[in-house]
Amino acid sequence: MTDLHLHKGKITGKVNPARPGDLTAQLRKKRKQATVKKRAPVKSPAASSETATHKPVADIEAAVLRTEQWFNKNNWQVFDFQRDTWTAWHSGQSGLIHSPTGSGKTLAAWLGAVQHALVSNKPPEALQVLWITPLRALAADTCEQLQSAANALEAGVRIEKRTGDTTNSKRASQRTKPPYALITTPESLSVMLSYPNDEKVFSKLHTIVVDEWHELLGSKRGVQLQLCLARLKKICPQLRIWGLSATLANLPEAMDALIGRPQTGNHNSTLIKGVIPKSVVVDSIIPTDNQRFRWSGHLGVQLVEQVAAVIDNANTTLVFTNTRAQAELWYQALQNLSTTQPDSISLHHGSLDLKLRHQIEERLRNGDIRCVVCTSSLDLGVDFHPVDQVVQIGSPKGIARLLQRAGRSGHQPGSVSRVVCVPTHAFELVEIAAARIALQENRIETRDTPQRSLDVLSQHLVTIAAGCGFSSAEMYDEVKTTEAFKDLSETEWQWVLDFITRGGQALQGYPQYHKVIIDKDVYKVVDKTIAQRHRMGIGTIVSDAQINVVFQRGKKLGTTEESFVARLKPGDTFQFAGRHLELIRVRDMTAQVKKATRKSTSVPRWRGTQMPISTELADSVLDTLTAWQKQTVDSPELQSINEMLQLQQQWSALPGPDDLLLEFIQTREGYSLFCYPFAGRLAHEGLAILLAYRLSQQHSITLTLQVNDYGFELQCPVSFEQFLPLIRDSLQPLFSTEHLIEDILASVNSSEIARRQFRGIARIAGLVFSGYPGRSKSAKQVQASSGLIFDVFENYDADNLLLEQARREVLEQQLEVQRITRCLDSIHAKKWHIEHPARLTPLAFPLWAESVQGQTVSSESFQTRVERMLATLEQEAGHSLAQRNGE
Amino acid sequence: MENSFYSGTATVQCCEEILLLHPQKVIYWPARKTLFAADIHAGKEQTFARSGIPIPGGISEDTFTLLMQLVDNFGAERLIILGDLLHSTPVPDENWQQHLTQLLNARTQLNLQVIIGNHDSLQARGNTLKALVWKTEIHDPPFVYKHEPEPHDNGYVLAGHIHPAWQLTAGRRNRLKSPVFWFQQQVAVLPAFGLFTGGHLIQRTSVDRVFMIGTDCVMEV
Repeated sequence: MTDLHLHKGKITGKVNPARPGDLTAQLRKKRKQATVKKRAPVKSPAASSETATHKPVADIEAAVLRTEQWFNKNNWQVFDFQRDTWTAWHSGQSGLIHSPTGSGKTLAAWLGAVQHALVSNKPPEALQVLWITPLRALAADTCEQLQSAANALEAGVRIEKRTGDTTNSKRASQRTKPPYALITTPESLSVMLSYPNDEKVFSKLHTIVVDEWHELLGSKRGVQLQLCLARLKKICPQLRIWGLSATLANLPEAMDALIGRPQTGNHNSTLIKGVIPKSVVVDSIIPTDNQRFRWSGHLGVQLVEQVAAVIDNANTTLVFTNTRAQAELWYQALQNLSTTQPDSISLHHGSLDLKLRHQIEERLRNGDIRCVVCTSSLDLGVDFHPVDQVVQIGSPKGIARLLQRAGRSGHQPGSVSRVVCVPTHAFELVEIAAARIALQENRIETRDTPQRSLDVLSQHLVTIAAGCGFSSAEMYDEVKTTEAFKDLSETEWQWVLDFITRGGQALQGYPQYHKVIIDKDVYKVVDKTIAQRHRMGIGTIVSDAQINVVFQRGKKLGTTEESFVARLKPGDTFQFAGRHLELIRVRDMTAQVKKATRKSTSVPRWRGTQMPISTELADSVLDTLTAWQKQTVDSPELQSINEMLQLQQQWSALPGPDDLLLEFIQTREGYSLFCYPFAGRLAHEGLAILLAYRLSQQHSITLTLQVNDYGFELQCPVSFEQFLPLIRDSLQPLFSTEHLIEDILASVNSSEIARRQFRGIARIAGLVFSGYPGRSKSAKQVQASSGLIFDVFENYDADNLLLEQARREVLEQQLEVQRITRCLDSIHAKKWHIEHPARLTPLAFPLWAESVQGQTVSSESFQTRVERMLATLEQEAGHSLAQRNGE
Repeated sequence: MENSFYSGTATVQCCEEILLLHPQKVIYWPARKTLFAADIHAGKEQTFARSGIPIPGGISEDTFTLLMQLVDNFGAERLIILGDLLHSTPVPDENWQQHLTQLLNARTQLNLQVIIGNHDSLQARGNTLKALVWKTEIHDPPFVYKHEPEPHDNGYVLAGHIHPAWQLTAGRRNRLKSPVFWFQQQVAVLPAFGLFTGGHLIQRTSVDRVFMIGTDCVMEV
């Protein structure tokens, strides 16, 4: 990526307060003026969802010619990669196309199949193309886009969508009168496979396109899709599988995971590189000298005026935030500033009602709004006109993600994508500078597929058993062709079969259990209730119970987690969907609200929305810090926090790639060890638990842990005066790599973390039934929390492989054990800086100030612990009482 | 041996009677040699298994074995189950039923009385061993035994139903959650006894007494 143009920029204060007049008109003018050949837009102007007539051509050449004529007529350029894809398609190949968002990947992957339909004499009568999209919300847009392209080429093909929203009558008509192409999600595809007629439905299939494969690849949804693809390849051996992906460091592996391993011979597949990436310019907003900038937090909106100025300076802007709560806050803050045109800013995140989101996308497309504050909900999406610029609030946490988001801006091929990064606390300025350097050096992250997820496999096998059924030997071979189960052992396979047929070891001899039965070597589900309940539970997305938020008259605003609403009383106010709302009542999983008359600062926190900093970016941060110390780097971001970095250096030390910094600090709450390996929040959680466990093995002690992307804190109550020398004396063995995995496993067991991880597994493997939608009470008798089931398995079925999987997932995904190992391996070669700062340093403060998500590791008896906690509480009560009296 | 059995218990004076709160989630009333347990949910794992959710067997058997050990260790002459002995309608010969029959046959002197809980439907009771004596509530001054924890005119109520649990938070991060005995002004709620039961956090008032249950002790918080 040598052509990547980089730019260091600095924006302070108001840039250009003047607001463009009639935006819509201006935009139209701009588009007219463009005379250079453009890429094909994501949507033709005169899109029609009606199927056009079928006008066949003589051969493939003629079909390609018609395609090119259509491009020319519209003054669009046909890119080489699009031609290459069509050629590969016609020669029966599969492949992966990687290219930035909005560069014409969709037409590349789609038109091969359209040309194929053109060659046939009559319109197609069977389902021949499946188009998999990761987001239900994208299905409608994709459908329109594919239909309008097919219509323009007069292919006479019908495209329909099939998602969780599709009505039963529509489903039925899709069976009797199948469309040429069906747009669906991985979950809906699974559901389709759970009906017994799948071989008939899919028998004519020749193409599967998986959109945004990079989004699915690293998750269990991707694993589920791999299994479904293996199934479809079995039904239709001539199947082509095409993937569309953004830039990743390990594209060949990503392609292999998509296409699967052939049972015999080699892949017939090709990796296609799309258009050259747009140049990316990373700017940042730097607080002015008189803005006292915070050392911690991630919701801070103090730079809102500067951000408003940046927004004013362009026609259209996307403001990306990392969490939904952050999006709500920034939307409010920006809204409060823009007094003249309050409607020109909008809010978009995954918990908002689909209709609202569509309205917003529509209005942005029409030029009615100039700015959308959004989360990763707009990372994806085809039908999206590029905007003028992108603003990223807070650290992007990864290089690929920054590239992806930046790619949302810039209109012309080869034009510049511009992203303005906005730090929310001081140290994020280092991350921004580091991200720019990493981009320059092309350090992009890899993405790997989860291995041997037995929960997903159990679910898939029940799905197929409910559908056509399967035989053990054939199915084993089929499953082994997927990347996710290439290492599946015979033993694991037998265990899963046992689990779905007899409930596993512990349930043997209970005749009433008959989820999957074996009938002449065919595994199938015969009980209709079990099949139906299984279909409701298909999927691997695990979320908390969601509560609908609706106005009194019924207008739906979106959903929020039950745990948030549970804390509210009627009359309480909160911010949601960019509005100040007052809770009226909660009934049947619905929260009725009305507009609040007073403003509220309470914002729902949605769980699981924070990602760890990537290894690539974290390494770049350490390099950047060293470069700053050696004065070999000059960036406006670093200059602006010179003072803070110097403070860190004076009070303690600044870590670099060859250093390990440890700080012992006494705080109001006790004694703390701060350690900064810069390995990301997940690996830090693992390290902190490991150290706490090793300490607690030697001494009777209760430690509380806190982690962030830079390091972790181990805190001990005030009464432990001996804590300090105790750790100092055993530092080396604490960080030892000896018995590493055993110790981590033991520490994982002694904490809540494996139990928490089991939540998702239990849900996917069908152990936790979330109930029928709208009939919240009917399944009460078979509801138990996953934590309870975890405990029961530990006591009664300790060999259950799902427990083993929970621990493995904790190691691999929750704690990133590879990063821990890497970190500990290198730690002893590093220079150790053991400091005793008199007060919290700039690096320590954010850890100390973080008050959520605390973990506890304890080797004290229940009694000692409760007594100490009670003593602490009394002390605090006495303290606050004394304060009150003193006033 | 006897010492260690009693060592973790807490003592409560309630209506001028002494009650022992045991870490195995039962209450013993020495004056009347009566043991109380609530929410057994026998057969819950089988209910799950019948619906295609493979929960291991043997949990209900263990639950009853433990309960009878407690009866023996306390030397209780009467056992009151405060509702939800059953989870749903059991299959007539479900393993735990035979097991319970054996346990009861070995203790013919034990006076077992069972309060009907919301899970103990007529049909469910019909499919359960016939030896059981079912009551909607029992008046035993100064107490009233019933399933749902609501005040009663005839006395202080001992009840179950809600599976009470409490979370202790000290400092900003140090948290500890456990099942509890919850003594309110007119009602006391016992923790769920069944080994396959969960807990629900309670909303306590300042006059309530709450006893957290650790592995080997009961502590007032």
